[in-house]
Amino acid sequence: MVEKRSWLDYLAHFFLLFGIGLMLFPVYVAFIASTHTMPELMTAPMPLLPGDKFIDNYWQVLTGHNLAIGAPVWQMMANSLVMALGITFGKITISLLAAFAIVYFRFAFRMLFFWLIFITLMLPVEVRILPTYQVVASMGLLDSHVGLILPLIASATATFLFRQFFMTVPNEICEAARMDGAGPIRFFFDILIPMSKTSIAALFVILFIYGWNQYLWPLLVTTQEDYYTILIGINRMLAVSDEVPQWPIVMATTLLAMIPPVIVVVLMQRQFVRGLIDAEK
Amino acid sequence: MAKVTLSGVSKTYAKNITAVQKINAEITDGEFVVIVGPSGCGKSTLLRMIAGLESISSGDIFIGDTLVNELEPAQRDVAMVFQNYALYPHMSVFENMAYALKIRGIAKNKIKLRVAQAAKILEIEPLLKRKPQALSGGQRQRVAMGRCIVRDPKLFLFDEPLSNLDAKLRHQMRLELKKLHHRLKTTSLYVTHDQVEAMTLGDRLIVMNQGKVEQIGSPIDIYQKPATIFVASFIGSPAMNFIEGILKPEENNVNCEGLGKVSLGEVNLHNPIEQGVTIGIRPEHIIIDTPDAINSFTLPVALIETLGADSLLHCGGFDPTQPAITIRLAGIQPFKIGTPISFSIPMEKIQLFNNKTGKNILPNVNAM
Repeated sequence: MVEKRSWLDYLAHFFLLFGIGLMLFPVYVAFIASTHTMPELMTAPMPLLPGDKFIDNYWQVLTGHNLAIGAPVWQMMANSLVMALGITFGKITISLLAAFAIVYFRFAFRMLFFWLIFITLMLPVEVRILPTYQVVASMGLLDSHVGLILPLIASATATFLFRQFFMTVPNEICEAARMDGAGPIRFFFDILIPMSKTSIAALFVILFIYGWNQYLWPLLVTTQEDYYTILIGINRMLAVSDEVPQWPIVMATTLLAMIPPVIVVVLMQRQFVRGLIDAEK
Repeated sequence: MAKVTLSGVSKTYAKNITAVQKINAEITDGEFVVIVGPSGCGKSTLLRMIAGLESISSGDIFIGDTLVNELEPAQRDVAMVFQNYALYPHMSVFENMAYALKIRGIAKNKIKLRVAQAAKILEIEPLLKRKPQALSGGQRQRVAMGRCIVRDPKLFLFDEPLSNLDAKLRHQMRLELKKLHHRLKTTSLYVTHDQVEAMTLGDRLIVMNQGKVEQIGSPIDIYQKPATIFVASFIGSPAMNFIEGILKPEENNVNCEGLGKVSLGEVNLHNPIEQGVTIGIRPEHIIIDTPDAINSFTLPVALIETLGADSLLHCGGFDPTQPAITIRLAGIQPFKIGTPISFSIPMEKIQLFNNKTGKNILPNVNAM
């Protein structure tokens, strides 16, 4: 700012605080709700201060007693974690390899393959969901972790991102490696992957959250409670017939479901930002 | 260490673009040869063909007695310093230097020893743990050289290694390169467009233009007896003066428009017929204030550049028929712009080029 105008500062802070309140209040309410019993929660002015059932509720959620569905929340979270990590690592691995091939090797129809990959950017999972379901079902992969992960593993976005990054790596680096006697595989592992570290970190965060928040696909391929992901679990808890959902339990589950993405973002925040802003050259 | 033999080496790209045309040259063991030429003359392409980074369209390259045409760069046992150094950004200086050795499966303690030795030679021991990002241009340059030295290759290749440095550092690194070569005596090929680097570093120069070799010879030979008008104009700063005229063989002189007759003295020319020629004379060879000497002329001063140690007098060129001559004189000169100045061109310093072929037609010129 050129000159100090305090009323503008106050206004800016007011809007910021307002925004923060708007974002945080629902989370706060969810937390309050998860610390009360159901009847307490149903009283006319909804309580806005924490109750005394924090430990009871969360214990119940984690161990799975008296829940509307059979699987305990820790198992659903484990399923979500397996799926999110599987999708993340799978996508990164495949995209790195695909981008490596497209940028560094001269093979027939190279540009055709690149454009084929690029075109799939326009097709979200939902468009191809029925044929994909058919394929996964005939492979006998329904109700399995592989079935949850495999169809979501190919990523045009990540391939494209790595391709762009690889193209910024000076050609001389590749030539220097050739002079040093590194073959393609050594070059890939010793030089290209370490150089792409920040891009990989940024993608890890994005893809982990993408994987964690998958909803439609797990909803289709899982029928057994053992393979429910946390999002499906929450959905099932809400879809109880002939009775009111157990709101304290649902809210506790929701808050637990938020924790892993928050951990990933907080831990990798620095690399994430660096990966998005510049490629360390 | 090894000699390098190029025989008929050519590079043709698609659409019949010829980058390098039938190069024949022999680089002897331990020699420092500089390939020099303007940008786009194919010098880098030639170097990359020797390195194995570029395929050879025709001809043969031998390193030692081995034909290397089809060998991978790593199998040729050559090391290269790139213009932008091409250090691996994620590796420390030590790892950068050790990488080639690690790939060869050399024992760790041996690698340490060799890197330490190379670091000592280049005085980069305190930098071994740093990343390239934390190094200055000159330091990166040293690391790039260290990466070559540790491998103890048959041949060093340098692709304009000093062009990213500032003038002062370039000068310093040039001296160090020369010292280093004196010490290691590894056969070296050095590509540059900077004629000062070429003159000071090379045991021999290969002057290239438009994919062809114009002249091969020692720096002094090339300076004193340029084989073509291109070499004469490219080597030397300020550039050689050129005056066009008609050769009169029976009178042993050249009739130059706007200047008069320039006598050549008693010389045995190749093909002494009346023809269009260009006289070449270096700015430092012209003598001033000698009105009675042979080949004495007068031109007005157009501009004076004072460099401190010497001054450049630009004379003539006021109209298209009047030749423009640059004279290099020691010290600071008192001349005023516009005053006529008399100077003489010593006969024994004159170079004579055929206007059609561009070739030097004086005897004793080591032409290609």
